[in-house]
Amino acid sequence: MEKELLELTVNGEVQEVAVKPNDTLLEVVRDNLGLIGTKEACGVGECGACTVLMEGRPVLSCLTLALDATEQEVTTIEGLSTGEDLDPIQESFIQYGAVQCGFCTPGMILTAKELLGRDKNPDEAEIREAISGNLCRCTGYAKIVEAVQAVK
Amino acid sequence: MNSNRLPRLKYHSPKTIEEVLKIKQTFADDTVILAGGTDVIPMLKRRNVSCGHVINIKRIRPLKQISFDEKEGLRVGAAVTLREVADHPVISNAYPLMGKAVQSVAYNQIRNMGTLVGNICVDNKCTYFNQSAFWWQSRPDCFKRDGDCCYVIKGGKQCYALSAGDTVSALIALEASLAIVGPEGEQRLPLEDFYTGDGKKPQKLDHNGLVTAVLIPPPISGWKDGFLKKSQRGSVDFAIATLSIRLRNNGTGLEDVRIALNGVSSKPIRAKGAEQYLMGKPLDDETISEAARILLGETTPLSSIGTSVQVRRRTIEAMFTDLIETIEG
Repeated sequence: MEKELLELTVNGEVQEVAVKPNDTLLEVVRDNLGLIGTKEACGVGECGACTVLMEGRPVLSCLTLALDATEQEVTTIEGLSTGEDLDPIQESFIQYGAVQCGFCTPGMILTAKELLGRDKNPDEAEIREAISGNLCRCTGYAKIVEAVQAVK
Repeated sequence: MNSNRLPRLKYHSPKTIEEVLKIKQTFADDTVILAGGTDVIPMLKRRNVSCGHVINIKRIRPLKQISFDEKEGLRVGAAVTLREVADHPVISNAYPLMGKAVQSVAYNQIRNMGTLVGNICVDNKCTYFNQSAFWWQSRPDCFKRDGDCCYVIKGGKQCYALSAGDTVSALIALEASLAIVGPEGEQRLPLEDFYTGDGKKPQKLDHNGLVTAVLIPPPISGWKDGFLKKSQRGSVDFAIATLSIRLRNNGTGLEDVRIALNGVSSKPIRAKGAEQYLMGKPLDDETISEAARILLGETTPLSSIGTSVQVRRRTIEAMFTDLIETIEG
């Protein structure tokens, strides 16, 4: 299969990558760009671990063809912090013990980022609805919900 | 074998509907339409479908539009996402039934990617068919895999994969139709007539056709409506059933009523018998339970996707009683 040159905007940086038509955005972000904060778990859109923001909205990078991501603003978990300066949501996850094994965390935080962008003060039901596609097998969600609620 | 790797494919990203038709004509059944991709990509990954050409329709401007006109009603293009539908002021104001149905689909990320027309055109689902290629090495192919048996209905003479689109019952109750463009131009087809009942090829759409939009008649005042979806776990499971009811009550009895179901059988069901029975009657307990009995008679629920026939029947009955009482509330 021939590779195509794709212009991707990830975390504000424009990059050129050679991709195959059957490469997913997830594969390109991890393998070509080395941004391994984005995780692959189920690979078929059931778990939310591969969540990234496209044009500010959470989507599943495992179900997005890399070629479909052209001309779109992509944000991965690496785009939320600057060096040691974490995003307030990341700080809150640490403070509230919302991270255990950590595999769901990048997707969870990006989903929360979008929610808090459109609703500064979501109630528990709204938070649970927003993150219902991000599966966590460790925390039982209570601490995650608390962490999101505590972000000011 | 990494089962999460997509097969080799050729990617097309046409800018016009005409280009889509040309690609379809050239490669016929070796093509698949990619809009949200939330159903197509997992099916390709599991090798449930095989096709060499993926046609992305998200760059076709007219397909990205929602338009509303008081005479013509609502038109939602084939590349409009469920999130865009849910967020549109006309839908929340004039089509609350549709808004509820759209919000019931899967979860946040899927609604940001998946489209309304994609939910209408979603392939039927099956406990057996939707397994991986590796899993299928262990048993003979079923009808949907071009074999000659059905594992859902043992001894069945056709494919009984389940019709699964969560928005379909609401759209049928709203008397929606589809705009389908083919080499002969645009055709309109009532959504109710779009489904074949054969799980192997569940929709009346040939290789040359493209569904470009769903059309919903203008809202009429005086109707009340409601939507219910029941599934084992809210966001991740396919429905046990989805039910939509619209009705107009003049105080002494029902003047008009629409009842539609999906997720229970190999095609959506418009319960015309129950509708007819309810006409002119006041909604008392006896009438409602008789209507529920007629509704179940018009439905042939399947044992599939983790739910038995018995549970499906009881769930449908309870949903119907609940929903009609809530609407009349």
